[in-house]
Amino acid sequence: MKKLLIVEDEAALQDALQKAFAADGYEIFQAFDGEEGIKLAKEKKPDMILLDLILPKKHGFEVLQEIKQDETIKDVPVLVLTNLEESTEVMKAIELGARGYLIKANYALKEVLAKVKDILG
Amino acid sequence: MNTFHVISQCRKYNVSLWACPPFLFILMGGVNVAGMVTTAIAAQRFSDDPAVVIISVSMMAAFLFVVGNAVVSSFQRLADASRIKSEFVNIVSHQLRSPLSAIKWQLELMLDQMKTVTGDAAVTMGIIRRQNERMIALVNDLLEVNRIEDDRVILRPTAITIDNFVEQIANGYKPLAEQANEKLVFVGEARPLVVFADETKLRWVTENLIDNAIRYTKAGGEVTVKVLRAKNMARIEITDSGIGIPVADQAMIFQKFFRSENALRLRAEGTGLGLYLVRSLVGAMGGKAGFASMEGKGSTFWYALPLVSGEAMVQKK
Repeated sequence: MKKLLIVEDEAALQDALQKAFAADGYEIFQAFDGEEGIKLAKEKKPDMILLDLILPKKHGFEVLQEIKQDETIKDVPVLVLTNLEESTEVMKAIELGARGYLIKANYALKEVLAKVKDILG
Repeated sequence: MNTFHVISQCRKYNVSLWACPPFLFILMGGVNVAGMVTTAIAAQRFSDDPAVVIISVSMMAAFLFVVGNAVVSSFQRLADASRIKSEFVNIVSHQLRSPLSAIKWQLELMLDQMKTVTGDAAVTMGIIRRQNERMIALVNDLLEVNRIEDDRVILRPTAITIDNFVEQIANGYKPLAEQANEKLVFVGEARPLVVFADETKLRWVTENLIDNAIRYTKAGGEVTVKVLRAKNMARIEITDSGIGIPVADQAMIFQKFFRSENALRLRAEGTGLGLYLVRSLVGAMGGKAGFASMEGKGSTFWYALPLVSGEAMVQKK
């Protein structure tokens, strides 16, 4: 069973992602802010991380940076899932090592599932 | 020193040079000096008394100073308001996306759980879903308009075989045309035409024009999508037998938020952003867009993009 960490502060979105991925057979860990995201990433060593950008306590970019600096989890693929879409943000996410960048409003859950499956191979 | 970098400051305001406060400040200074010199020369001609000359020059200087300040400060307010408006639209649009995606995803879950929805419930679900998508599209359009106005359009150009590309999009619209009881015809070119453009934006532009053509054409009508070569350009024409655009409205059709009278009567929804975005995006990709229309007979909307020659393609890769 693949382990998936979802870092998302909006309860309604967190709930939808959790249900969709659980139904597809993933083991889910949920973090509602940036700090919790880093803590769970280190503790649970997920196979993949879905990461929002605007988060309480720690911005998604900082979370991404810390994940990439930690030897034990730096290879875990991170998919940025946000509603920000300025070119500077997309570029920065990719530079920091994100594997993908999806605009939440423009993707159906099924498409997010497909993208995750695609990255996990 | 930064005060003297007028051009870079004006770029930040994102207004033309003639409406840019730092530039106007310098310009008014120049006008002030020129006005004083002219007054001095003129005053010396009409009077030998130095006191008269000094008084005239001082009065002119005071007058020009007041006028100059009024001009610069009102343009300053205008430029600030425009920048604040653009930031506001940006923040609000991004904020709206969060609840909109929550509705979208929760609805998707619900529809999946229910498996088969029938009768009134299915109709209601369909309406909620379409309205949700419509609002997401509206927010996307607003963000795109904002990006165009602030010169921040994100383009990721690739080589596109535009005849195949447009044909595929047109085929995707066959169900909508059939539903509206209209004929949708595609006419292609014998040779493949390659352009260099952003695929997502080009898809958006093409879909928007075909969608408009179908929606503003009544049952029994016909929509033709044509790809042709016009000199060194690939030209895409979308011709409908629809309501057409009244002559009085034709000059304004590409303006932001503008909607023609007869279009409003036929279809109340619509934002008037589509054609503005079509022209701006095609322009940003180095092309042109235009139309020809007769009220009651129909319209042809077209866009043209420069063709990529064999060598240019290798270079761009």
